[in-house]
Amino acid sequence: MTTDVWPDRASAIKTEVRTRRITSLLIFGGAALLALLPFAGIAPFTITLLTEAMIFAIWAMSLDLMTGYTGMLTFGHAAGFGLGAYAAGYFAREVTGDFFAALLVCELVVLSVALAIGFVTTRLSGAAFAIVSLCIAQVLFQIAVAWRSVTEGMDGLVGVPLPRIFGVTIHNGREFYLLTLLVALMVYLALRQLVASPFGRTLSAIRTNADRAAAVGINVALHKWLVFVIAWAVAGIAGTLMVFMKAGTTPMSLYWVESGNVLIMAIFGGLGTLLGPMIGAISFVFLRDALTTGFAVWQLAFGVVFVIVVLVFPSGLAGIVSLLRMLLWRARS
Amino acid sequence: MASPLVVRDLSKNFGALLAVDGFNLDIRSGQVHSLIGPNGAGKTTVFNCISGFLRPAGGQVVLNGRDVTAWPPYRLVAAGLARTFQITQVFSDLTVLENVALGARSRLGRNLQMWPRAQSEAQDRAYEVLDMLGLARQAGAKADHLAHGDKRVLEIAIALALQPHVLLLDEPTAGMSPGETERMGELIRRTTKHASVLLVEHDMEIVLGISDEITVMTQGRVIASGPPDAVSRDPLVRDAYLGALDAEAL
Amino acid sequence: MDLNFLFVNILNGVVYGSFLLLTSLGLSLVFGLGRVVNFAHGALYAMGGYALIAVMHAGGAGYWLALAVAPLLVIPMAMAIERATINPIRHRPDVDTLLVTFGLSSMIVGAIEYVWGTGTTLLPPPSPFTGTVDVLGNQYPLYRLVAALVSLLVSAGVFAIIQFTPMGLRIRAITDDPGMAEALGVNIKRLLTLVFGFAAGLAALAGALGAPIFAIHPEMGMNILIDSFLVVVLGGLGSLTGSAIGAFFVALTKSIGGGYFAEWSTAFLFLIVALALIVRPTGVFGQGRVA
Repeated sequence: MTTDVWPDRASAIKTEVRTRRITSLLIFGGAALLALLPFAGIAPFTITLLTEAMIFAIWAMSLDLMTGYTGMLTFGHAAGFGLGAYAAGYFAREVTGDFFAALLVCELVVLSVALAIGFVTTRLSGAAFAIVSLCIAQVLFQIAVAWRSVTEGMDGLVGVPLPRIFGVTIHNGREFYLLTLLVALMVYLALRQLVASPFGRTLSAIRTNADRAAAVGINVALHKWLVFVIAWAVAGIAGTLMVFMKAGTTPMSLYWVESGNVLIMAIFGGLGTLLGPMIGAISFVFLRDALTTGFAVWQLAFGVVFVIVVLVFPSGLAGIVSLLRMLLWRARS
Repeated sequence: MASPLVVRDLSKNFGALLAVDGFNLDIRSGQVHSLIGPNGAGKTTVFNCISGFLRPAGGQVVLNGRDVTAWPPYRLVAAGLARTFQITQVFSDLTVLENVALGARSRLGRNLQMWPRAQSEAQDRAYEVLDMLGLARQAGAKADHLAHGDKRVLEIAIALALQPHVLLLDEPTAGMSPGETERMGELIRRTTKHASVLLVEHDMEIVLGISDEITVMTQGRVIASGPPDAVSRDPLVRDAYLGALDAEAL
Repeated sequence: MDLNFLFVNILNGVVYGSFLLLTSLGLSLVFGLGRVVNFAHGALYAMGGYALIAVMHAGGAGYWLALAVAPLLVIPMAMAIERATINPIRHRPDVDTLLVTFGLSSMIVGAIEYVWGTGTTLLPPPSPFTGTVDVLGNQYPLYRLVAALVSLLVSAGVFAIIQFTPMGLRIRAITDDPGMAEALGVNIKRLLTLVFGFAAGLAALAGALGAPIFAIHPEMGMNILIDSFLVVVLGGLGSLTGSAIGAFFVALTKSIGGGYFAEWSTAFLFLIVALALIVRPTGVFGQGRVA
């Protein structure tokens, strides 16, 4: 019946399916390529950078879910990341280095905190939400510094053992890289599914016009709360990977500079695209490595780049891509 | 058989300013009920109070026999109330189809569903609504790119996708050409097959042409209420509207 | 209960509150007028401290002269920044200016670290206020009281300007209703730059004034920025009275709480702000805008 009503529908669906298949192909192809790198003679240090990049990619994608898709700008996204790192790290050191166990403990902690804090803060929006998010992260930072008995203060948590999966210890960079790559791929697929679902469509509506969304029957507060919790949970995954990679963590993982970093990664890569922030994360890690003439210069350069990106490229790299695509399309017709 | 919408003694103030005072309304099933009055009379405030965007200072809103006073918008939608906006507020980034599909999805209770992918059932329903309103051909266009008149129709499409019992239309013909206005009038009358309509309008021709009942407001109070002929002959109404009515009639 | 300990903490709270008030006023003004949340406000505060020591070391000037000059150096710099980066995007959604000022903050702090390094500089209290004074049986550093007094006087001056001058009236009108700007024939672009510069001057003054008390290091503006955010969120962005009451509330809570609970007091403070926001999302003092 509906095909008579909507004659274009068949072709519209075909195009959609085809685009999806192509993207999936690219993703899996890219992942396979990345997985082969350590075996292709790439320097171990590059592999380390890539591992860090993949961890940031997971973290940046979680930010994209909240900021890019739902429109909730936050200056405190280091909170879920750092909290996850501490929870997983502390558990791994005190109890067991089993990866899944540590991840579970991390998520228990992160989810409880996110559920409680999210309930309060997601009632805010716009600048207020962004600022209060920063305050939360700073509070966690202060606690990490003050609670010496657990976190060892500014010295940081050290002595996190090597991770173990199903009893097998991961003892070199290559194996850990593959693990991280796998997790990143799974997170990407899960988030991609989420944003394509009815729930994800509703998020877009909220971002576009929250009041109108309410008038369409959407429980905006509930959705924002859920997104907040999910974003923190995914950030926690990134934190867990990070604490195993670095065998520890410091309060700096909760510092506002980190929140700024993940923000620039996502914005630079292109908000609202999931892949954009991933690319942004990879670019960020390699750029930062290239500019290691000193922390001061990096901070300055970072600031300048940040300002320029916001001023000139509000949609980030992905925006440039879609702009190009649109220009090409226009040129063709 | 409960009235679709009853408003009793509604009042709303903003600080010292009493915008609405003792407002009463009773819509009968399948009717078009218009709310008119000069600018600043409080019509939009009444709308906002009924649809959950403002908290009334006093009074009751009863929907199909249920007291829904001060309910948030999303609960009202679930209870069968939908509204459009005076200033066009479609979801500009999304396609026309997606705009309406949001409403359909909401009606299907799927908003929190995290899998599977976007749902054809909601899109099917959305397409049907668009077809009924004559927007089917533009289903794939970005909502932002529609002509103004079509955007106003899209607003109604989104509301209709929610399958409401009561439809609140806030100046649906604002900024439309006479031809578009006429078509809008027809469209509104057609929707009464499914819903009762409460309409805020400035265009007197439309109001007198399609309404079953008219309520007149000025300075926050109701000054007259009844069928079109009675209201247009009411001296109080003529007084309040003297300039306006004559100007419209010309 | 050591009353002296409590009393000293209260005094510290009052001192910090005066500084917090000065910075919060600037933040509130810029937001009220231009809907710009200036994340770089903390960096400008730090800039004030560094401008101070630059003038003292390079110019060989004494503290008081440097104190007068420092804000004068920061103001034009801030105005230039505003013109170049904030003004062009003021019609974009609010979050864009928030992002830009965030980047600016990083830029300014990075520049400071580049020029002066990442270390902490201590500055002795300037003469003739180098000693302590007896306050209800406690020896309290005299300079702190003097600096607090100066802050309060300047804050009162700002209040006066906003309440009693024609310029202040215009600012208040536009804060209440941005459309007013056109009606009043005001060059809004120029006014925004001026007020931004003025707010930066207040922040720089606070930084320079506080240098002998709170020490100078590149991140010195961060904590007071966070606290200022708490103040204006609590008091309502755009409300000067709210800022005043909020500033002392935050400062005293931190100070008294800090005396007994160390860094936990900040967590406690945030809890209070969070609770306040649940109850009154527009800030405890009403008509302040939050989003």
